[in-house]
Amino acid sequence: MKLVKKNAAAPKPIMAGLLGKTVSRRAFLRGSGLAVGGAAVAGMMPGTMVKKARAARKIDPQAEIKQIKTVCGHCSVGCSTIAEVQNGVWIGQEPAFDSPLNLGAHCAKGAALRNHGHSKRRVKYPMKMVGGKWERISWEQAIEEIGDKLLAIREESGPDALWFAGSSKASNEGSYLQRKFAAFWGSNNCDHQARICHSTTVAGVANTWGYGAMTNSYNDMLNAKSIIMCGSNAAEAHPVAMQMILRAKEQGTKLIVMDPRFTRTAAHSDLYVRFRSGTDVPLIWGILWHVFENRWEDTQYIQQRVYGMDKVREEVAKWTPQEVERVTGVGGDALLEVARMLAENRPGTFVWCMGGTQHTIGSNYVRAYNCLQLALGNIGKEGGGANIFRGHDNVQGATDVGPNPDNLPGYYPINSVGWGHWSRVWGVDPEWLQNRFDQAEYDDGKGGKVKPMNAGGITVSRWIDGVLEDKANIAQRDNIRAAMFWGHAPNSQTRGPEMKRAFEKLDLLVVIDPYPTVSAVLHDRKDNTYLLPAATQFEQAGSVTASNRSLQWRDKVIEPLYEHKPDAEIAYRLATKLGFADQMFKNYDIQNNMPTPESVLREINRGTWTIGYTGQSPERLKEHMKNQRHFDVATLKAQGGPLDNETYGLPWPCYGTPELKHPGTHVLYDPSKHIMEGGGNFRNAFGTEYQGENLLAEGSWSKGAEIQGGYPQFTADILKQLGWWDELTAEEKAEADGKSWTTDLSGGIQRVVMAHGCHPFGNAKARAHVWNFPDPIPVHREPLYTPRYDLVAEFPTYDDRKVFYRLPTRWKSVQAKDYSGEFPLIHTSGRLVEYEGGGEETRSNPWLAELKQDMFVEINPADANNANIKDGQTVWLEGPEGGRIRIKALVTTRVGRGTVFTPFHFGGHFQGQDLLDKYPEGSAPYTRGESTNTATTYGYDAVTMMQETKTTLCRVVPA
Amino acid sequence: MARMKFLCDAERCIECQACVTACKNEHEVPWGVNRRRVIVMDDGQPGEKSVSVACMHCTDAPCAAVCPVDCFYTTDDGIVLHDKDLCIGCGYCFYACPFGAPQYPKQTAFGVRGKMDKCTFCAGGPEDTNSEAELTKYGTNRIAEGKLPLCAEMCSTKALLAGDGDVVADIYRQRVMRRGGRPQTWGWQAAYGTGA
Amino acid sequence: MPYKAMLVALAFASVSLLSACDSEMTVYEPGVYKGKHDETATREAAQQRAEPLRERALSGMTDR
Repeated sequence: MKLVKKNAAAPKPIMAGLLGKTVSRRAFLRGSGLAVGGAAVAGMMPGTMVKKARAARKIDPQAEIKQIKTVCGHCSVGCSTIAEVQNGVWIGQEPAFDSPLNLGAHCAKGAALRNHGHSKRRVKYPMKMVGGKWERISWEQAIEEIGDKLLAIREESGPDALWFAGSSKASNEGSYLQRKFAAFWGSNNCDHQARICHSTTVAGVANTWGYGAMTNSYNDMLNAKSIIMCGSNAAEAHPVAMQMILRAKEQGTKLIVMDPRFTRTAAHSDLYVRFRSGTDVPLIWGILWHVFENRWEDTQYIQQRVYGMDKVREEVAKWTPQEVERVTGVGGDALLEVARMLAENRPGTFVWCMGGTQHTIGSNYVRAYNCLQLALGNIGKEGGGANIFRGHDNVQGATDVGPNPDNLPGYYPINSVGWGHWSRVWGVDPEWLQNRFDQAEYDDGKGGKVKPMNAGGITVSRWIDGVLEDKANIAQRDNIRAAMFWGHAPNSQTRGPEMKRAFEKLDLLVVIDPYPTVSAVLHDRKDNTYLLPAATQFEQAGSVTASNRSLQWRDKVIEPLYEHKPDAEIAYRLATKLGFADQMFKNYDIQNNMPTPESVLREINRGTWTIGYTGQSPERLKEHMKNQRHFDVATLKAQGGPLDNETYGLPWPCYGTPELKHPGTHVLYDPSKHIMEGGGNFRNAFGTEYQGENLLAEGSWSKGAEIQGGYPQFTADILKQLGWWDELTAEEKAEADGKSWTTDLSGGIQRVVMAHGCHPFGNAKARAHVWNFPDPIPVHREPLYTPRYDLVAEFPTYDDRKVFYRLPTRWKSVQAKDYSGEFPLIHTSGRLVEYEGGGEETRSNPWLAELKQDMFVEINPADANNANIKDGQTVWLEGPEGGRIRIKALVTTRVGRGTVFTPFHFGGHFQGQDLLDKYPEGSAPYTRGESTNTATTYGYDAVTMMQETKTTLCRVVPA
Repeated sequence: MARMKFLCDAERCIECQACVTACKNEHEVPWGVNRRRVIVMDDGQPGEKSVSVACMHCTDAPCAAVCPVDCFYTTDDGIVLHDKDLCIGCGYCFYACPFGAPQYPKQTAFGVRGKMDKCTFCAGGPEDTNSEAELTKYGTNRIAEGKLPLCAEMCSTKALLAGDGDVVADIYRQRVMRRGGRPQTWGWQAAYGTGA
Repeated sequence: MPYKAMLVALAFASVSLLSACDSEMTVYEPGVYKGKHDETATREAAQQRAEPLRERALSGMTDR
């Protein structure tokens, strides 16, 4: 082939110019990391790696290639992907263009999924620590030994001496079995990532308008006229969500980003507001002040659908622009401009993430966001809503039906009603179940006594205190003596040095995970420590719930590598050894030593009436996966085909039985649609009036409702009063009599109520005033570790509490000391696009690990100069509780003066020491680094025990 | 006649690196070799922009012009490929390339040492299509299967577009019309000439 | 061999060698691909895949 000879000189090398001029985070880190990376490669995967990779990639052009659709496991967007498998080997990954959620798109993590299909950096066999060394053992031996030890601890200290972390990365079926496992073991001491992710959101929004979930969807943002994001960096945490956000922006939607850090999301905004971390309440009240001042609130909406807005107005009146500037640092007309943009561009949606939730008053922040949206009339509308982006692929599902310490699947309470309901679904004698628990009574923290069965268990944010705290101060029989980490990283929890001590004090530590995780290496344990290799999401099938409440069926891509086992099989084996498998697994179809996910989902369908997890049968979900192309991207509604008018993934609530064919609910609380078309209204869950004020909706009802106005939630008795009772079949009547819409297992009540166009959970007002919270109207309280100690007297935190989730919990006594002199910088943390959570899985993927090889701290040039720190230099970041981390400095104006930022995905180093030799051979992640949480501090939300990771203090000094 | 092109929409690029890992995934590009990278301008400052860069498969490829052993060729639909058996790893093409695309693996990569490696537009190389030799030296051949480069197919925001230049330009034009902004066809002039 | 004879022989040889390079032949043509022939680089191959690639772009690159 002939090439045309160039006449002119080659164009000026513009890239070199660009590269020379700009130093990006990437360039900086990759550059600085190259030497380290090179060394890491040389040490860990010398030249042979290439050959090995090739060997895994033998593609036989003759043999059949199977295409299997699965769902990414790295965030809550729910991106489908197509795995190509030949002879059991995952040889290729193709984009799933048909999925209406991602249209084939992925972020760095999703585009690198295939590596999980042949990753060798995993725990390969059950392992046991003997005299400080890892030894391979068999599954039989592991289950025997762990079981015997657990039973001995139970004998000595009761069932609550075992605490375990389940997983938001398990499927609905896996996480549901984890909750059931805790129940049948006889304890509420289980928890998962949701606690430290969106617990304040779930509590905040559920108490405001009904359900603890994202109200709309990523797709629905295409319908928004304005998008305001506060404490959300979607470009890194939910990159594929940006596809919808940027598409919306192209249609004219205004994008506002508020964040202490100029994030990559902020780089795409129309308006960016930087504010002091930890001051969201004044910030939001500052916006609302302008809304009220200019009468931009939706008065009719408030009158019809909101209770308590007048009380909000009183609080907001205190936050004049001057006052807001004094506390948040946001001056000028910035917030007026935000308010105007929101007012003039309705409907608008509010997005928040960990930046808004992980605070000592996170539940106040969340409710302040809610109040702003209610004032603007934005909730319950297409294009509006509270679009809460959740973190893990199934954190929504695990919150809905998984291992929560303070409720049962479907948010049923841990009182006699909830336990009674689930005992019926599970087919067990309630008394037998009750006897599995410790029968003694303990301080309930409210001046009374409570049995452990009815008391919220110890949370994942505080398990270390359950181990370390003086036994006399804990509201259960004994300390936590055994801990099981079943799909949970410990480095995502605060107070690293204390965690190390807690690990060392445990009598038994069991880690069930595909990866060793930091749990395997942080401590200096010598014995009684086990690693059980769990299968990844791609080695087991099941359903997962995306952030928008859509359920997707994930097919198994490959057989487990090595000796990995699915969660359901591990639960079955452990339960068998512990003696309750016959009770726990009686309803399931057991195949290959485990229940089939289909049979577990059917049980979830049979019991989870409260939030409408009843209509999503495995068959329906599989049909949705098959017909993805039929769903419209903006409405998620199928257009024609076998699923005509159904919403993709049957987003919960999908009320009634699967046969009733409820289409799923795309937008929550939307009265413009009939309930059988996914319409609705705010929930009645807190009575019909409070202190003489009506709580039911006035003059507002969902389309087609026969009760035109507010009404309470439905029971059999109300149906009788209304004369609707006889519309139930005889069979339904037999089951439904004396029950409510949440406990009637026949589904008859829901069916009949919806036939009359009404909502089973009633039609009430949203509560701007949540009287059952410590702060019924959200108020500002300074963080425990605040740089503005001068404001503490005015905005103090809460009093300490003796018992809160079984533990003494401190607020005021921590805030009593001023650390701002010695530790002058705000330390905040967040995500990087390449990694997820504690990062073990993603840092073990070479395609990702290569991109970010060093743990670092972003520091403003002014603060760097003050501390004599140059870009790229190694520094110590020291926290006020004594934890310190040795990391690299990245000098950048991305953070403002006085604030530093660290990513939270690193682990494997501890206070300057590389823990490489502690990993089982060949299982250490490619990239290791200091965990930011070694330097974070005490601080918990007063409603949910959410940890504070977004506002603490530190100092940065040259190393 | 179709003419294959890449286009990166800087308004949509969020620097998520999906294109980079998709490429690693598809071709099992070894550690240290990057056929595609994301470049950021004004990192952390107002006006921050990023673009994804790889071989742009130039119309009048400067790499080919300077190659002393003439190992480059262009397919009829405009994909610039090279023969690694001829390449001597001299590095001239790196100096000529306006995009910094050519890579020189220090270790054995793709079965050969010291040869230049670059983006193939997922079209393999001169070895027999889908042969073991092609897979080993150049990676997979998606083009032969009627598929486009995986980096663009998996782009999180559809910022990176690949395919027939006419189709790509159409998609992009509609987008620019909708947002009413100035087109930012970053790198197009350098790669495809002033008429692009 | 005497010096003169050697010179003549050399002159003859050089002339005859030179004349071996006829005008139809070049040792090296710059800018022309020297590698293995790639069947997929041809016009036929490109024409064959043009339509599938076009469809692929429309299904995968558009916003839908």
